[in-house]
Amino acid sequence: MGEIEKLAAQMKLESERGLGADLRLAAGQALGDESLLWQSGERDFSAMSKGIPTGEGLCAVEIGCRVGRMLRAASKRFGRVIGVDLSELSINRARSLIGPNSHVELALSSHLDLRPIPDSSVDFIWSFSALSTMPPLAVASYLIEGRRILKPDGVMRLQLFLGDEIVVSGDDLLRPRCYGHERVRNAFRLAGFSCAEAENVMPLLGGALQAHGIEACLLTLRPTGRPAAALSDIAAALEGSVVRDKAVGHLPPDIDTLATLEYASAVAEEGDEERAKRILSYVETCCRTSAIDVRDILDRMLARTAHGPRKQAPTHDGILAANMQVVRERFPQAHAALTALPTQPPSGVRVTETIQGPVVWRDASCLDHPDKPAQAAAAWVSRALQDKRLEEAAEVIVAGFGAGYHLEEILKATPGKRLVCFEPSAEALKAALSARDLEACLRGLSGLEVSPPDVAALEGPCELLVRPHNALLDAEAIKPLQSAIAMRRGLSALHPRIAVLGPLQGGTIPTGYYSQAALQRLGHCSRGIDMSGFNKGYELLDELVRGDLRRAVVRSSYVDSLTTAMLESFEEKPVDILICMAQAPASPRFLAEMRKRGVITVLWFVEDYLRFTYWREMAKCYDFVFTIQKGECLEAIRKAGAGEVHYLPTACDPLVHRPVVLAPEEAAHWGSEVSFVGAGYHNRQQMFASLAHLPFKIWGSEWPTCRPFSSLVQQEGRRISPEEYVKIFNASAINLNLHSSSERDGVEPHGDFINPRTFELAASGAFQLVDERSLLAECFEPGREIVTFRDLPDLLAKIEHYRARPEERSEIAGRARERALRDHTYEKRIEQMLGIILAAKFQQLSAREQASPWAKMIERSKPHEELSKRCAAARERGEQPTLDALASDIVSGKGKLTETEQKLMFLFHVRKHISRPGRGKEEA
Amino acid sequence: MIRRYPDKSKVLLVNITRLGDMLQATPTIAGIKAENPSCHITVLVERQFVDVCHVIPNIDEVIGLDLGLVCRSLDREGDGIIDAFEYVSDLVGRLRSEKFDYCLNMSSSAYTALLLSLVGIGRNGGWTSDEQGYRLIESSWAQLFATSVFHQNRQYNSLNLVDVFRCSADVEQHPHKLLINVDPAARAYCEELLQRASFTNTGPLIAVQAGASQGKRQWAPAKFVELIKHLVHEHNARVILTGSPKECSIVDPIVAGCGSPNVVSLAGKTSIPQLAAMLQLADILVTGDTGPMHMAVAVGTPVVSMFLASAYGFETGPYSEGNIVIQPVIGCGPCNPNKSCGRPDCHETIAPELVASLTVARLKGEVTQVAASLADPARVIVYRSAFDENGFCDLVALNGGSGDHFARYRRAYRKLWLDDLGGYRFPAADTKPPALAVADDGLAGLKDIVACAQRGQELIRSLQEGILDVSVPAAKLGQINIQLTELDHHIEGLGFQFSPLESLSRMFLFAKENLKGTDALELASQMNRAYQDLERRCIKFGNYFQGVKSA
Repeated sequence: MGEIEKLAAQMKLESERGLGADLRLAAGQALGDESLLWQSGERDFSAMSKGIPTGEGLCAVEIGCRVGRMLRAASKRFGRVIGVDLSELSINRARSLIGPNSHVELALSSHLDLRPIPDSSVDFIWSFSALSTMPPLAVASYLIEGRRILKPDGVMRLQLFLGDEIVVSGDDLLRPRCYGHERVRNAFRLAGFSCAEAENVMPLLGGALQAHGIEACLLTLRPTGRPAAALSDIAAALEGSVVRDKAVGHLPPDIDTLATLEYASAVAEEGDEERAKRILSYVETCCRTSAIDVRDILDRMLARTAHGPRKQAPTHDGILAANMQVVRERFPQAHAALTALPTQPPSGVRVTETIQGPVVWRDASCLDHPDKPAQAAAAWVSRALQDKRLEEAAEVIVAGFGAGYHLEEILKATPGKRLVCFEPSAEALKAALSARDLEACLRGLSGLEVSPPDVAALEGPCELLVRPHNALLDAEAIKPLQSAIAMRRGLSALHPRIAVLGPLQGGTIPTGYYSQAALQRLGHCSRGIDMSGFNKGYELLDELVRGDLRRAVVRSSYVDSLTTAMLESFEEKPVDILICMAQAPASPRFLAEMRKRGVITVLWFVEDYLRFTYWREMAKCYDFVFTIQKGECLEAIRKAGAGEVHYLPTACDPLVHRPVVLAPEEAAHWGSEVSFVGAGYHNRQQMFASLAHLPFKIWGSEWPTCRPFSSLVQQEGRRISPEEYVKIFNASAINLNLHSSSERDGVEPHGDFINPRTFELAASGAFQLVDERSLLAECFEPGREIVTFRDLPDLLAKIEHYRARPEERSEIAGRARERALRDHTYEKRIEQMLGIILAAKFQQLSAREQASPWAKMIERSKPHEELSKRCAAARERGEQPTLDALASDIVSGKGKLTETEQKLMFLFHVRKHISRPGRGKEEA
Repeated sequence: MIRRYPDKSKVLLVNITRLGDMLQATPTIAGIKAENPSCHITVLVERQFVDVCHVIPNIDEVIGLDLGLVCRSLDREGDGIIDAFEYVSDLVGRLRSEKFDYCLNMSSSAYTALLLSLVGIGRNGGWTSDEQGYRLIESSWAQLFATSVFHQNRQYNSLNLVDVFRCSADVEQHPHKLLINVDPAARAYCEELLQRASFTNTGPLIAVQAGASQGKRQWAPAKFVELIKHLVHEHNARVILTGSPKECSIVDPIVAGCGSPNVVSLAGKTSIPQLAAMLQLADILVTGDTGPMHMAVAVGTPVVSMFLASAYGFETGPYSEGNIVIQPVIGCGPCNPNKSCGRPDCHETIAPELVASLTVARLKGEVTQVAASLADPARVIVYRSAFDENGFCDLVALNGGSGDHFARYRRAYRKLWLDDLGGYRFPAADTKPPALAVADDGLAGLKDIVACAQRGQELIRSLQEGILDVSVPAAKLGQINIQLTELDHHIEGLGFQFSPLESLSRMFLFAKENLKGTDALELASQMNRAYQDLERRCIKFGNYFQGVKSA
């Protein structure tokens, strides 16, 4: 049985067993009121089909129709409606509930497909709540099938939960999943869809979710082309590296519970308290979470009051003035930003009135709860504060001001904490300040910012709370903040085990070494995997097999065997994050397997993406790709299916790239008035031939042996080691740095990225003349920290100028070194990289950390202080949670053994003794 | 007898892993109780042997160590390790709370040594470890055991482990036999079992234990078939095959091969107490070196036992008078118990006819002689177990000892250790220098070792002077230490070079391993004693060796 068949069988089983686990439905059925079923179906289908062309000649398909709740509603608008479900039980139930209806057909989909429906024959496909509980593989299968049956101008509309990702065990078929926005969009793209809109359907499923950073979204998909990836790739894109461990299944919040609570609340508000109570008691018995919520809703029922349509709230200039007065006193920067705004708020920002006070809107999104802002804010805060990290944080940053209700709640609940609010929209902030008296709240805040606060400047533990709507609306502004905070807490709390996988050969090898060294210096548990030794084997294969085709076969089987070896190695010593350097021998099979194991895959693509294009096939295998180029490069790699793509230039390693003092004879050997270190690419040959009249030395390989190079190239063009080129940098008055090009003459006119040598020369305190690059000015200030040239005459003029001015050279080189050490070390880069990874994957890493046997061991070992310390130390070393790891550094004869050590040695010897064949009394 | 700790009040005996070992400890347990009637004896055994301990007399309390649980927890790794750790902590806590004043660890494993180091009992007769995790063996008798078993000097030893255990615990009074209580109900069960068997023969009831702890120590089933057929057909015998449920796979083919109503399998049909009762009902047991052998001895049933592969009759032979021990003479035996053997040639040296004749002869009464024509002493030696004049178990060759090249050394060592460690006197012990001129290649190094021992004493004297004289620089003392270390290496080397002398050098090295304390002078004086012991033992050994020769 294939994976799909197995999954379908499981899903069918769960679906049938769990007709009762569909809480909303179960709650409805429990009441035995069939009319309610059709009523809710009518309501939900209206929302699902809003704006979709309907008509007698059109065909609609529901994926996961269950007992057909919406089919009757659909049949009123479409000529042909097909309900598809994988459970025969559901289909039969639907058939009997709907009764005779010439518009409705029911189809069994036992292989997660839409097989009986022909290609390009359907105008509208919808799925409500069904897909959210399916594992990614099933979702991917329905996406591909949906793409197949949909007409080119058809529409697919899916309801999914989007927002903060909820980690659900891979084989959990009951619990809804919550995907990140970026992730689903990427999967849709791979399946051949564009996602036109994502509308929050909160009114359908309730505001309780919103408080948890989750939105029940209706996604409208339109076909763009054929699916661009295979089923498993689409599934992988959806899944990312979701932890498959069962232990994480209980992570709050539980969408179903929340949704059902909200449903109960709605029933109560409609006046049927009896029914609401029965739903609540169902939730209490069936759901494990939140007695608090139940109580909360009971309170609400008691305090129930009717409320009318939303009123535009009056704004008062007096209130604004009083609030602004406090802002001016306490937060001058925010005040300046607010006063710079035009008097009239932009059309999207408005304030409406609720029974509990005014709320602020940005376009269609209400930044507070649209009806009960104070109550929802209290619930949100009380839940948020359950997080232990917040308890320990001295400083809390809240992203999102809204109308300030939640800030008031936090101030009330945690009087001792410093609270900073970051509101990216000055307009929305101003709207809030003009609607409510916020004087006390503003005085309670220790910071109010409209641009991201500098996390590095904060002292002590600091945490970030993001309001649900701001997470969607201000993702770009909040992400760097999240990553900075994640970085601060990630280091100490998550113990990620990181591996750096190097290439078989090529210029990226040192970058891998430097990255690994930086990880070590930053105190991470990391291991470098040096693959360069295997290159010899690769070359030997080339000698052994000459034919191109045969060679390709043996090469691929060689890489395959390396894959097997690496997988074994990672099985033995698992990692959480795998950083592959460009050209590392990481095959799709390898990466897919690593992701299956929950490893976050990262590619640092330190190559020109136009010259090396293997990212087209490989990008989709990575959760993160870091590039040395910006703009189109980022977009292209993103389109090729990478999870996230970010710019991250190379850097220097100050322990290697540093000023060195050379003896005169050494300086004479390595030095020159003008030097160049590097391979003889076309543009370099072409340009440097014109410098033959200068005292000029060229070091490096692949240079022509003809004149003038025969006299310029040193030591017969052998490869130069990093230690050697640092000597050359130091001993030369002017170091040339011309970025390579195989196609162009001289300076590449559209050159963008910066090569590692730029940073290495700078850190070595050497003076360089570098060709103009579009990204250079971000890293070094031209003219002050670095000198550039744009063509040969410019280069000749600058050589002439600087040869005569040693002081000027040394000043510029000094500033370049200072800048390189401050901003461009591998430590800095790794911190940036991990910050980005942690911001997106904090929950996953944290779940892994919690699920790791070490976490349990350390928790269990707490009563035994020394053992606990040993566990922590072994985990820091990256060991597996084994007895051998705990006992590995206990050595007899190196002083007195502690009691703990003796006990561990006892266990060690017991196991050795028992596992011995024919164990007996004699022991040598 | 020389005794270190004769008085005991709260005793812990550690004997973790085997049924046979537990039975072999019974004379020691009985002796401790006889010499200290009010003492409380606790035994620590692996959980599966707890029941066995309940049928052993004189034990007041049994603590079971669940090694299986520990290993299962460890196999889980992760928090399983914490479970195992907490199990050990609880065990250590419980043992500490008992406040034992004496411990005899009869198991030589590293883990029991570590456990006892954790429990921290002041007086020890067997293995423990020091605070750095190094092995400690305080008792000279236990050192002797380690010398012979661990260092391939087994053929030079003739002291039964039961006596070595006993002496390690300073026990002088002992019952000269192993002990086990036979439960009347178990006996009734066995009688009924025998009644139900449809024996047609009416002759002796012969028990046969075919299984053994290791494959290489298990005589071939075909040979058992031949033996049993002979006994059944020629001697009207009724044969019962004993064994555990696991041993059915060995026993069943033998029963089938015999094809006689007079051959019955009881494998898997008896509990430990029932097996004891069954062996008591039998007239004789034919066996290898097994737990049931010791059990038969304990219930007073004579045994005919074959010591194959790593089994060595002098070491673990039946501990009572009048049993038959068959020991192959073969270059590779007794072999290393921790190594497997693909071709156990030693099995071929014992013919079924020989075992049959010895069984029949023993059934008729004491056997005092076996014809060389029946048992060629170049291939196999037949012994009878007996106690010597000092109450130590010994084996007496019945078919002449011409095949046994080790016999002379063994006799000399026996006298040496009984004299030097036990305080039993023999003629010609202290004759001085002439004894060293021994005309035997194996002993050519004796003089060198004595010289080393004397040199050691000289160096210790300078060390002691240096320690007392504050003007002597520390470097000088360091140099002496280096010389002493080199000297010890040399002594060890001589032991390797002249293998009959290795027991002497090894005993010396054990003594040095077990120096106690941190005071320099005290350590120096302990070291001096070690060199003195070595010199004295070499001289005694030479003299006894000559005495044996002249006798």
